[in-house]
Amino acid sequence: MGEEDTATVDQNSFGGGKDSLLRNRHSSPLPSPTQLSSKVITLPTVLTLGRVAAVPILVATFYVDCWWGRTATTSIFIAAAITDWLDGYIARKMRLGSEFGAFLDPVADKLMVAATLILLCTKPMVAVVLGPVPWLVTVPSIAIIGREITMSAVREWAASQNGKLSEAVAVNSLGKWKTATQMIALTILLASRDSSFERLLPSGIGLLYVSAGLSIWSLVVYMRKIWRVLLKK
Amino acid sequence: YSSRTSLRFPIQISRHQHRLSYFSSSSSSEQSRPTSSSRNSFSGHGQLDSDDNSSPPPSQSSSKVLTLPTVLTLGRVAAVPLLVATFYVDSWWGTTATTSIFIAAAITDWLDGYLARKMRLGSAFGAFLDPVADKLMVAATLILLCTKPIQVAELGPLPWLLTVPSIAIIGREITMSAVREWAASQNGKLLEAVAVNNLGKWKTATQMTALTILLASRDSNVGWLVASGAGLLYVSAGLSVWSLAVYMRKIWKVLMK
Repeated sequence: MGEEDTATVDQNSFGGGKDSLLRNRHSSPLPSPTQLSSKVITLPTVLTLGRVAAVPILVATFYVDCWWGRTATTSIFIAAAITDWLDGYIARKMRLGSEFGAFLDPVADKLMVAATLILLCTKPMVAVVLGPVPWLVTVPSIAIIGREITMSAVREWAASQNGKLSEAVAVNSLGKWKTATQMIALTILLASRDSSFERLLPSGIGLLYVSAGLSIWSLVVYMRKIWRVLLKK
Repeated sequence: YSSRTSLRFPIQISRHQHRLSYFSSSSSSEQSRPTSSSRNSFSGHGQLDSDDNSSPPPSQSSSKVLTLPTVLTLGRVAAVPLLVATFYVDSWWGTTATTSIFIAAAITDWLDGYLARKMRLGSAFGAFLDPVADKLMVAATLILLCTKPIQVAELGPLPWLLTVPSIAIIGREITMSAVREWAASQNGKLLEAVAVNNLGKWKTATQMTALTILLASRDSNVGWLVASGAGLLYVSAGLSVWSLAVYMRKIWKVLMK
């Protein structure tokens, strides 16, 4: 999983989608609605839609104050992280990628991460040495979500400009490490709400700061590339 | 079938004239115009996107990129860390500073668009940066407000009261950005499907008003002020999700063709 996986899925899916569209046009001028509908809703897309639908369930179970609520929230997040890798794998293996799936996959990933970050901000962490520190999770959460908002606008803008800018926003390997540390940190933080996992809390917060640092770092790398391209004009 | 054809014809004429008027009013190329217009209108105000086809020297290009509206927009981005820092200052001037920063950002949001149109100082970088600054400020404020649960008189502390609309608003922004990025790489019909409607303006207005009220009433005991702020936030979240549903329905229709 990771942004590079997502980029690979994007490339495969776009190519596959266009090929199938061209074949449909060549064989019959008017494809039937059921045929087109079955093309849009493939198995990886259903898995991705399931991840989007899981976000409201994650929010609801977060506020159930008992052991099965906490277990459900953590399990939903882990299942979403596994499905994030799985639907990309199925899309490549069975060549079932679609344009809609390529668009939806990164959205599901960001929705799950953003919702989890906001939920964790609503319950302040109690650090043993420092007492309650309200900004401890909030600062990296705002950094991570702010970075996603900025990167989305960068990619939207680059898609409407020339090819050099599209190259400047090509995914680098920092994205993989960012996503990996992000998913692990959030899993630990969700699990450590249970008292039996409380000792994992410092490592979860530390990993969250590492993930936020990687996010900002990769954003700076992108912005520097874009600035260079802009100044060449 | 013939009546449907005749109905479609005047609609196409209207679109054609609309596009022509856009094209004649600015020197930018037709390719960048619809996307730029769509992006700017989303923030609630239009902004000219001047685009020199000739290649200017680097110093001129630098002065072109950093225009006065762009500097104001960069100031809004730089204000986000200040907003976060002052939010956690537990005194009266901290609350006043946070609210003042947010109000100043909302005013500047309108002002830099106005300057860009009036003085014709819009740039491609400014057109990209303006909606980012708006979303960063709103997202940061929403997350900060989630960290301090609101006390409702009868029900006690409700931790989910602000969290649910905040996740809805931020989730909607994430989805819309991906939709626009995807539509920009597809054909022209999808670009039309994501053209901005009037819901966006009302969403932004209710959003800014709700967040200002909630920031200002953070430490006070005025119950009706908090209630109106929370109510407006739910209206804003409803408008956000509603406009997203409108967009997704249009896109689905285009895909099914």
